[in-house]
Amino acid sequence: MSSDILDYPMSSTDIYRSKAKKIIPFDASTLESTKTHSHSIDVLLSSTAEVTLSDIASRLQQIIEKHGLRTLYDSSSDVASLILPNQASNQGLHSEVLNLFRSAVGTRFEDGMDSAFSLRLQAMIMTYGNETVKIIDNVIFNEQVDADVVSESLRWIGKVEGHQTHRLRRLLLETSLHHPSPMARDGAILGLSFMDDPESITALEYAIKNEKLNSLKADMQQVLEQLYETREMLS
Amino acid sequence: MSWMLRAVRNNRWNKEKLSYGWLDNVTAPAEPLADIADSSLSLYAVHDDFSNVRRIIAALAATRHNLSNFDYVLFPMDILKDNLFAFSDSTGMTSDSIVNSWHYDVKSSALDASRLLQLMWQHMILKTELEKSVLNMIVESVKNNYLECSQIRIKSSEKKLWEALDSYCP
Repeated sequence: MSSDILDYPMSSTDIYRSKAKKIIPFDASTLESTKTHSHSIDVLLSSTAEVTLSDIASRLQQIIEKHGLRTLYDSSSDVASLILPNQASNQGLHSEVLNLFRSAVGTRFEDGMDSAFSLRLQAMIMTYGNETVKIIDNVIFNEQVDADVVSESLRWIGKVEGHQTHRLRRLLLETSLHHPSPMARDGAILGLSFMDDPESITALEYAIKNEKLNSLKADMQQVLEQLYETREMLS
Repeated sequence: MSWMLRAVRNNRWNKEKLSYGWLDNVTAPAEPLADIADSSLSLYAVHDDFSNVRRIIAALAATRHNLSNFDYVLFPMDILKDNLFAFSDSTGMTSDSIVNSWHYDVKSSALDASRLLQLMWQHMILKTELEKSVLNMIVESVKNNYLECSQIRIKSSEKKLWEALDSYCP
């Protein structure tokens, strides 16, 4: 296992990539009391194809103690839901999501207006919940899809209602702040502004430090200020 | 200096996002044409002190399906005058009659559209209002009786908006 594993963040899709290579035994008890950080998990998994989750949990604990990372997932089931691979039964849903993204290419999206794409995407998230969100994550990071469509999808991921999917949608948006496409990053920024969840403050602060485009940095800052206000109101 | 406002989509107007190696940074790319290639281009006149921008945004945002961010460009009205574009005031299509009186149409051919785009590209200010801020603008307009509740077209499923309007829209 690499010792330089705190170079976060990386795409949460790395979780899936790692899982594709090897099914790692999941020791829930090891993570039960462990405060974990999504980005660290990503980095760990991407750099370790041959370790068990016990190794990862143990290393995570060291990282957390050393760096005082905040909690994003607070139970083993949350971690498991992200780490355990989607089974073959999701193949149909994956194809459906991919087809949806591909068929939307060329659509002239307008802010505040529904489109066949946005309506279908919302319906899929409402119906299949987190499974859809995980597949969208996989599609936007691993498949050849149009940047404008990715951007639109991320806006709606932040916009769609649903407490059950809230956390995973938020994590996907936070990860997408580092997407290679500036358009996708823009969609993630707007998605987070719709969600208005102060839990994203740390992720935004980190993304601002790493963002190369000044206009996107300013957009992130605008959302960050909104989230500071929301946090203030909630406290 | 007087300004004109045009609702756009940031992704199609952001100079950094649309930076192509083969295009110099003063020439407009094709993407923004999608927002202005209209035989009758709709624009709103902004006061010199920008004091009516919030009201224009509220009126335009209230015509949409969903509460959302609002992206727009501002550019000097002189661009239209100095370059002999055929523009005239005409009633807008929002639910705020005063905002409608600030509305202008530019009659434009495909050639005009690309000429106008190039001028806008050089002189524009691109802005985004986040959803939360748009919500406040709509509430402000309703509170000031600029907008009537019955004319807001945003879906009733937009709970944040309709809860904020609860005391004004019984």
